[in-house]
Amino acid sequence: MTKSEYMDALREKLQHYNRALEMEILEDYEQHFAEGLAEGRREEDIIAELGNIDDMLKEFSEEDLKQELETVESQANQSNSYEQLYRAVVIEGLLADVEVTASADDQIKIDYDNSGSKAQKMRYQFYQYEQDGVFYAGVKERRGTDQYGAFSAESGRDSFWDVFSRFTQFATCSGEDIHLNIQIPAGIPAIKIETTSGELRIQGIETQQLEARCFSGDLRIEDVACKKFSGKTQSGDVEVSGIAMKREEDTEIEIQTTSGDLEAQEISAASVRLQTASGDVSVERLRAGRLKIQTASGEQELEDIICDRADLRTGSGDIDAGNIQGREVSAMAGSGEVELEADMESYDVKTGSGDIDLEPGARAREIRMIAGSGEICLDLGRIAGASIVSRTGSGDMNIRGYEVSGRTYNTSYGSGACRVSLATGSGDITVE
Amino acid sequence: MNTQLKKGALELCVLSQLVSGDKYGYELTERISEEMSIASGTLYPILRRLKEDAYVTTYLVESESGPARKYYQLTQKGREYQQAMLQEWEQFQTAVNRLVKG
Repeated sequence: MTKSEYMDALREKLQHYNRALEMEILEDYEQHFAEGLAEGRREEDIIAELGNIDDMLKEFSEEDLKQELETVESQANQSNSYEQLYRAVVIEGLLADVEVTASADDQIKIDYDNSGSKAQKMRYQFYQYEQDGVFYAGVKERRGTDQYGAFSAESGRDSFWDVFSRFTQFATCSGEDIHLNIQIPAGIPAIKIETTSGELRIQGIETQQLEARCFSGDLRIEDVACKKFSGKTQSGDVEVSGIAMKREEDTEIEIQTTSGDLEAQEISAASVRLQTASGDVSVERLRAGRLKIQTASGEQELEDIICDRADLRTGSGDIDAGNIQGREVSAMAGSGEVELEADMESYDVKTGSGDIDLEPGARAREIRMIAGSGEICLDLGRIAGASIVSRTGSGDMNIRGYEVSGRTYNTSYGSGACRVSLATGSGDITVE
Repeated sequence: MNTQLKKGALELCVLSQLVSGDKYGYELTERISEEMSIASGTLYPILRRLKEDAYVTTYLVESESGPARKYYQLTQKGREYQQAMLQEWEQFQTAVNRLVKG
């Protein structure tokens, strides 16, 4: 073993102790090596003399450990301010609930509050450091502790924990009582915030690029201004209200969840992409150049949307969209139904077994609806003139009050300007 | 050896080494491990505890060999403690000697 390997091992084991103790012992050992080497001794001889690290750690008395606990207690509540220009801020909250708000001045302010059980205080600690102009802070697990806050079997026999456990009781760590409140000043180009089970709430932040990640925790975004926003959760719900994009062309909002529901309102960007697996998507008052929503089994509900092009895709979920304005809409569903009330120029709707119900606005120029076994229902009430091509495999057709007996039917009325093409396999077609 | 006994004995050894004058960590641990087969690393937690308990204080002196040397100095409280422990030790030793010789 070399000196650096030995010191690494020592550093690793001392992580469980408070920083003052850690630093002091490391310094003592460094000094010891320096003296030994200056006498011309070999590293391995000095290591042999210093001896087993675990044996050394056993020398720490209950007193030391009590002090350690007091330190942990005092660290469980801390407030810090940092003033510097950072190019990015990276926050990892783990199980802590994280709340991010705007700072009134140019300082990053962090309040860490761990008011859980002793075991929880032992197991989690606040960290902060800077590297290459990036500000890092968050909650970390002390290495080698298990879910009861005790050190796991492989890390040292009865050194720290056995002694420690004699005078404290353990409860499991729920993480419910760990809070991280962060104030971030405007003008930091990139902000990335992550939690696992902790909830994440971001409010009033102004930046270029904002990235928010949760696993089972919920994500809530309010009144944020940025150029690129990316939000991701696994089972956590996402609630977004108010993402105003800076006036640039390549602004982007991307939100993904797996089983969590996604609720968004008052957001605008050149490109908006929303994706869930089983989670439902509900969008209100959205403005986008290009809107793309994708769900597997999740439902999609849209209201008051202005966009150039909307792409809506779902497997078994339904799509229900009201008051969509723009140029082009494309909606595709497998077994899900599609109900669309929109004012666009071009409509393209396809389903497998799902029904389609479309009510286009007066500006419609092209409508294509295709269903496998689903029914097609089209309301042309607002359209002055259309030419219709309609085809069904085995279903019935009723075109503008006329019961068609054949499999295909072509007709037009008014100017015939809007081209309508309808096709189903076994479903019925109704045009009003 | 009984760990409590050993711990007490080591404390006494460390404190006694400082009676004649201040010593830095390496010097002190070398001196003790010359006589006793113990890992010198285990002395550092003892030194730290003695400092926490105000039996010793420390000060740094620049060194040519590398990092500054941390010197340990007995406090008045440490001197008294050493005296008391030494007495206890001698009584204990006498008793043990008498008993082991039958």
